[in-house]
Amino acid sequence: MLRRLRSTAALLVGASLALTGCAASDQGGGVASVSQVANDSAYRGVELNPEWQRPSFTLTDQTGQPYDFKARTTGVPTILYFGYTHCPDVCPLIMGQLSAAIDAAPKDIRSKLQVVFVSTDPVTDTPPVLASYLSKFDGALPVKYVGLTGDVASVEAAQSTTGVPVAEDGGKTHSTMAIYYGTSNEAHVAWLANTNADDIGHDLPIGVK
Amino acid sequence: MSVDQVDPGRLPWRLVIALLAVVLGATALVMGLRGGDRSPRLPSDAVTQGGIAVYGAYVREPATDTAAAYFTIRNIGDTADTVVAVSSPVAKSAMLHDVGKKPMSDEGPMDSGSMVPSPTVVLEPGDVVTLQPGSGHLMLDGVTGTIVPGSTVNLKLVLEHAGTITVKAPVVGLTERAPST
Ligand SMILES: [Cu+2]
Repeated sequence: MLRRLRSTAALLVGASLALTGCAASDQGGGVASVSQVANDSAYRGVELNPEWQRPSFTLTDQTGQPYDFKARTTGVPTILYFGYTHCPDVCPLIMGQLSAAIDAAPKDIRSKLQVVFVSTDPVTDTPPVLASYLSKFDGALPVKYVGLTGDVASVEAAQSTTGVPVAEDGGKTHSTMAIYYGTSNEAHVAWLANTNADDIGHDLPIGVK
Repeated sequence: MSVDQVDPGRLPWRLVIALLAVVLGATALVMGLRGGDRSPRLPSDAVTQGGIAVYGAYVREPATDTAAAYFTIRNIGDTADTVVAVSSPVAKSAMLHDVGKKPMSDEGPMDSGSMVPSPTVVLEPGDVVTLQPGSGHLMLDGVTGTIVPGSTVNLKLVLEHAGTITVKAPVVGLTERAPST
């Protein structure tokens, strides 16, 4: 199933690159060569090629204070996820798997890694709601999770600038990518909500740079 | 509240991926997650009643007052049946969502969580419908009581012909892996 996930993702990326004509020339062209690159991927998550840059946006954290994402997390390994607290399905799954993976990670990663959860339903997800939600996930961890909210336009702009599809339907239909930025501020891997803790844990030390 | 400009060069291929995901998703809806084995060997936790078998049930420990339950339902009988209602004593309301949605693993990096109601689910003879994260769940809204690992939650499925089937779903902790189906 995992292998299929990776090759399918590679295929989609390959197909879209081919369609937009961005990458065909210097890779020999076609979906096959891109798939081959992805099958050699060091990551068990979805490899981001080209890498994504750490985005910049300021929202309100779970203590009610402004949080400048780029300024606060630059140089810090960071996992960024967009979801909503009343999602019963994919959000608790990926958040729980992240927690399990970080808890088992090497000490230098476990003691630094920052998880940032941005609400796609900021009307419901006030700072106190976020604080209560995140405390279910970070109890065993040395670095507490950050939960961000704001007005709808601001959280939508944060999604756009990050590069994920903007959530729809009151935030209920949302991206399920957990994007992992390393100390270089580039993200080389993202995990979909069905990635298990072992696979996330495998990728954590590789993507930390 | 400040936000940087979107890099215009980054958008088009993501849009294409999103569109591809939509096309794949639509194909999945048409094809459904239905198998055709008429004489299956059922797991030991299967509850059968009137030609319907339900098994593999679990509830993910909730982080709010909203929880999700997952299970597989199979029509082992000779006639079609329809799930017409769901409920649980631990929740104020319950509803099926996204039944028949293609699993996340097939949709690439731009998959989305969604919450499309599935008010009824028709099961032809031999049909198998599996709810799993990203491709269908029974949402429990307004849950009360202690839903923690080690406890079980009763789920009630009302079928047009088979009647009310009650399944005991064990609770899976927030940081535990999803049971494989
Ligand atoms: Cu739901």
